[in-house]
Amino acid sequence: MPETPIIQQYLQLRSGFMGYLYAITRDAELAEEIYQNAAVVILEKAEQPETIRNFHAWAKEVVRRQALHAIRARKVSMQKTRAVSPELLDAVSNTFLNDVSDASVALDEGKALKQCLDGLTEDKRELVALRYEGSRSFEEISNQIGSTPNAVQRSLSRIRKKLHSCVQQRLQLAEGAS
Amino acid sequence: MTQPPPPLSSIDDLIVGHFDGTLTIDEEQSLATALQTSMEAKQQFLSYMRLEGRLHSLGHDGFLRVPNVNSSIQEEGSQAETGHESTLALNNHRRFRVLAASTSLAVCAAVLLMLSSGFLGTSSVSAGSILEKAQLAAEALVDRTYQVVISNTNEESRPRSITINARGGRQFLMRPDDGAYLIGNDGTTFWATRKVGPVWTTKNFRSLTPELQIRLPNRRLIELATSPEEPLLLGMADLVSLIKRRYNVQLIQYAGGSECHLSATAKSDRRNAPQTIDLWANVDTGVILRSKSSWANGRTMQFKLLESRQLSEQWYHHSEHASGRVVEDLDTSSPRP
Repeated sequence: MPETPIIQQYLQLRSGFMGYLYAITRDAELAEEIYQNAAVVILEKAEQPETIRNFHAWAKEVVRRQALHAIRARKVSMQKTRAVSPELLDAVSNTFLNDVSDASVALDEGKALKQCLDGLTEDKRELVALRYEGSRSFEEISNQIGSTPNAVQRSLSRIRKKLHSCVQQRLQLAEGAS
Repeated sequence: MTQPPPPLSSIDDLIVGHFDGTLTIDEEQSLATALQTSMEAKQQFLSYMRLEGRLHSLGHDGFLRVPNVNSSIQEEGSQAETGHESTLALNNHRRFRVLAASTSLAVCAAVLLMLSSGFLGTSSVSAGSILEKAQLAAEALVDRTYQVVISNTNEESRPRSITINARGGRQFLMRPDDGAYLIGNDGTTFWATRKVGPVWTTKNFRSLTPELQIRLPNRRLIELATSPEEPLLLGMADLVSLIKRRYNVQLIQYAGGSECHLSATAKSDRRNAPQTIDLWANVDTGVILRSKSSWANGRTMQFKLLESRQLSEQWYHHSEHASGRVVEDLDTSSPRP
């Protein structure tokens, strides 16, 4: 298999991998760094493509190993941060590794999310942007908009549930229409 | 004994709470149990996980705001909807992101220039004269070593610490504290390598295909270091010009000691530019000892001059730091996009 399709496959799986990485690190910068490091490993290993039978499953394992390595390193450097409990870390990783969703699901969700984001009011969309553009804490956002951290967290929690519900409804509608 | 999984509405709360980092230990246990025992909970978690990942990716690439700033942003945003989300994002969003970040990094580069050039004199600390001197001093071939600490807004993010050697405006060597990689420019060729493996070289990183760019460590830093528009260390005259246009520089504190404090304040709000840049300078030599750039979102970048010591002529060439490695010239090993 030539190199380009493999890295393109990896890039197309970005959202799923980033979601997993954020789920177990809760650190957007670290998640991005792990994603890039995994890309390098994948490119190096991809030079022997005959050993890769299921790219998605193999790439997930590469990402998981890179993540666990990074988490161990972070534990050494940041004793004060409460990490995800080992049991939940295992449960999340197993859920991720055993996910057999077709790649098209992620693509459809991506399109639906864009439409759902467009349906948000301007202030809600701004709140989402504040949270995800710079990985700002609830406290930082609350300082910026003159609110409280708890209120910001509750609002963002509601918005994400609404976005999730909206995405699922759009997927069901599309499925019913096809 | 295993607890029964909570109802699905609670699963939503647990999942969102997990991503927010607000769950108690008992709640984390409940979520773990649900993921181990309930297929519905797993599916729910996976769909939330993809949503979270996509929001982070969109936010990272600057696509979460209503795309009404300018047509180029809008155009790239619409491209991301086509289904080739990731590939297009990495091909096109990068350009936007770098442009969006240009002001802030240009300012940081100018700070580094100021640090390296020792432009301050005791007789004049007006913004205009300082920056004129900075421009004149930009090409001085003096080796300076700095520690740069970048702190993000997320409390759980680790501050990044990088040691930078710089000579004049064109040669540099960057090394993170963990030694995971080296990035350098010997004045003509940009190079990068990790602890093991080949040395990659290019004279034009930005024209490489994404497949080749992604081989390199810390791609975001490389994008900045190699851009003619907002280089971290290069093109100083343009950067100083930008400081002149967009910042007011004033003397904050000088009580007759050896150190004075200057503050540069942005003339207007620009989301990606630091609001303030504080500089502490030695009034006798004019060398700036440290600086701190602060963004509205709490992000900071601090420079600290560690030493001014002449380094070997070959210091900025990869052979000095990665001798014996295979050298891979990316410019000749890839098709151009």
